[in-house]
Amino acid sequence: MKISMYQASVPVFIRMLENLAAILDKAAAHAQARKIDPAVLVQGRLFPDMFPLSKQVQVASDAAKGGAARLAGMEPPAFEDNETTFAELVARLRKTVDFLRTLKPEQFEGAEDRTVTWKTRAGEKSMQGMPYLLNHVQPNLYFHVTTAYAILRHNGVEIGKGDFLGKP
Amino acid sequence: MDNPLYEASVPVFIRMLGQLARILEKGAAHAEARKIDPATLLASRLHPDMYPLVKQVQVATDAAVDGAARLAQVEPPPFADDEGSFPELLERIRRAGGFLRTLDPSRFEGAGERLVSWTARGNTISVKGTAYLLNHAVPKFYFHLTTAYAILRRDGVELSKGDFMGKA
Repeated sequence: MKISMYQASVPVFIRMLENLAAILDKAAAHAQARKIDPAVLVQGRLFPDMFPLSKQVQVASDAAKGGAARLAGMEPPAFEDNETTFAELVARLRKTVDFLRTLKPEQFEGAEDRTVTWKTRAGEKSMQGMPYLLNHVQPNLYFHVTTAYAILRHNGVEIGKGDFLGKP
Repeated sequence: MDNPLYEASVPVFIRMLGQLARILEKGAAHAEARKIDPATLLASRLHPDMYPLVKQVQVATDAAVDGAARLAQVEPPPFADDEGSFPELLERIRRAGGFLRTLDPSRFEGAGERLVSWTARGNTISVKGTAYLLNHAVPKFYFHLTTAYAILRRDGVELSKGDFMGKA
């Protein structure tokens, strides 16, 4: 079996977003058990000018749906970025996973060589599909999922690397 | 992807190890400019029972070296894990990159279907190469890379996500 662009993106993204949702569930349970206001964790940051947890989760969701949709040759669904609770963040991840599950492997055929174009703060960018996936989407997704984990770990939530990695 | 197990591993690891080196160079320069003992940053952690920066860098290089070596069925070079300074960590990253560059892409042909086995906490785990790369080696690599970045960022080193992402 060859790795296809589909295989290297959609199932990997689903897996990591589900792991992140499980991490958020543990954080919500931790807050409840320790009588910590969940908002303190949802707004937690590693440094004053870094994104808070809620934004790390939103950007991870965007990286996954935006990356997969563009490789499949379509526009990603727009989400409002209005989540303020653990339950809402988990729901956003579920909604992202539901979208990813609608994508079909056939839509990714030839995606490595197609030009992908997207908007950033600095303007429009375009790149070939394979470097887009491996050098942009993948590091971006892992960056935000790991930082979300790091914020919670830093704040004492009892999670371990196994929660991040899941089972291979 | 013509040789997906190679394309999705070795060039990605080499590129991101380059970003890690850049991040550590900025950490070293920050320590010097602010007259901070570099050892303080090297021993810094996000939580008391998490690995310090030195170990995050060691494990990130291991994830890349062991991941690629197992897929290519070659013996990884030994590392003494005795780094105690920023220059020594940079040297480790250079050695890891040097090893990755010796791997011939042809050694990765068919690697997706071959079983990869490794031991984690006393248990032997065996999975096919594709699952090993996508669900274990790559996430583990990014986990430790991002955590190294997060430790320095939390400690006030002026890093931005561009230092992590590099140019795609």
